[in-house]
Amino acid sequence: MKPILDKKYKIYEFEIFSLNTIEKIYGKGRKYGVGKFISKLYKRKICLQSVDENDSHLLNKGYVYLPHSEIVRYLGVNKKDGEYEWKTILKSLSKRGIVSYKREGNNPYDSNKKLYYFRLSDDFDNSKKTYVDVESNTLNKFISKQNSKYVSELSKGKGLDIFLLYELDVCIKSTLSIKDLDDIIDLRVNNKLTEYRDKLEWEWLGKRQRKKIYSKLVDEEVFIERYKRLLKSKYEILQIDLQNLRDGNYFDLSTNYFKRDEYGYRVYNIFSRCIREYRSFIKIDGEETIEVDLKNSMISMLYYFIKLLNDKPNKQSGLVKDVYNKLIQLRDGEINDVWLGLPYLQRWEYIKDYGDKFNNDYYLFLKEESGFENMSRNSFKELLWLILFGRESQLKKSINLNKHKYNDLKHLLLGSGRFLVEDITKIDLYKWNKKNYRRYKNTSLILHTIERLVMETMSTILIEKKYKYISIFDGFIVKKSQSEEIHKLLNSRVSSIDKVFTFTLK
Amino acid sequence: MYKGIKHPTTMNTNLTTDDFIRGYLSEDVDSFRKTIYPNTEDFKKTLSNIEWDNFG
Repeated sequence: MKPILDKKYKIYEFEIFSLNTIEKIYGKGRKYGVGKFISKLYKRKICLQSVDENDSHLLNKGYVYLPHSEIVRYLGVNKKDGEYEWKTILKSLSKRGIVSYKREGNNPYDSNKKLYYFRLSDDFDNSKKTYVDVESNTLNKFISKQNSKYVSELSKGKGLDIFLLYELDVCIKSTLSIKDLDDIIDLRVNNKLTEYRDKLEWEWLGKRQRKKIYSKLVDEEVFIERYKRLLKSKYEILQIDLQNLRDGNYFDLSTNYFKRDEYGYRVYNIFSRCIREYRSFIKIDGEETIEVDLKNSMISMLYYFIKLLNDKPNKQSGLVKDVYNKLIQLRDGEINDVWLGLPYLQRWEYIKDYGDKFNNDYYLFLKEESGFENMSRNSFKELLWLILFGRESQLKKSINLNKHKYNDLKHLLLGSGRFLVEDITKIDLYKWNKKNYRRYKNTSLILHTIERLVMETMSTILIEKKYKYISIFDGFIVKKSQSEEIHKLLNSRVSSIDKVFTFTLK
Repeated sequence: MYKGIKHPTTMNTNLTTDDFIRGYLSEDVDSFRKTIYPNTEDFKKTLSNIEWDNFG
């Protein structure tokens, strides 16, 4: 069948830079092209923006990526007065303070060229805006063709693997509607402020992080106002994108929601970046939902990884085998139980046997056992994660815990498992994550890969039983009416991988 | 050597947990995924919401 050619797609029009203004400056022919460009940058920026930004990363400074083919399509491919139209318009938009741009990363098709990242002025966040029809046949036809191309690729088995495809299918018939949005936003803001205040109580928190939190709390009113606006805009854009999904308008989605990351190959869908306060309103096929989560996921993965590592060498495969061989190389051909973390496993056998006593909350148990009774659970959990995943050179400077030195702390938290965790950051696992590879991230890479392994094994079971689900990293959003049976099923299956894993209903 | 590890056979796909672990940890995890659902057309039939026919 042919693409739908008479369909009108929609864009945001902003009061501060209206379509009429665009037409006056760039001519009738570029009116909707430039309008679409601005609208796309706005949606993507809001969608990807986080309030806890890591300032060093371009994305978190509000910069978003747009492929060259789209830039050229919206801003003009022809040459005028010796310069491409898209370049002239970009320069003009930049001069007017509408858009700034940077070039970073490498173009996969031409390593000499950098990719374009754009940042739309913050003035657009505050501007009045309306969602209007695109009155340009050529642009509408272009979008329609892009949608056909997308589905045609899917149909040929390209683009999305079966797990992504399954979730796309479920998300198409999902909704997220909040009647009292302002109340839920207030709840989220309060939760965030409480989280910040709690963090300031953590005695190990470094100066830089402390400063970041203070900068938000000092001008609390300004922060609250800005955060509320962001949450409201995120909600609006999610509504638009859910409608886009229902309409099969995949090309107009604010960002590439359905994808895997380079980091353990985790699955992302339209709700992955959605705050948990919103997530509880998700409906699948019009039915209320509930989350079934893998309890203590990361720390359980650490245990399970060490268990796989200590398995018979002929039973090992892939990543674990590679880690095992490289650890031996690192120790000049010798390896012993301590270096492979075996005593740490034995400690866990105890935890597994007596887990019921502390409601199978491994963080709580480890906290008590390491002698940090006075520390809050969240503080302990974050500290443990930092020790596992952080960069040692940075942590030595930033962790401050009274009399404890960094190495003592590591020993308290990980026992003899610390030797293994230290060794892992020294081996080369480049071939398992070629993008932005850093050795200090090895533990994180391994644990995320194993988490994906466990979750995808569980996904397979849900798909086989025809249960609809939306995955959120270490959990599944499922229909409330099926939650009990799914919970039971998942637990019976996951415990056959290892007793350490348990799913809980939230 | 750690002796406690078990690889039970409980999956409906006729693959053992062991097969799953090996498959997911292998370098060619994409090929492994295709072995779980080798036939794309069959798999597509289980999806109810994507409107394949509206597009070329």
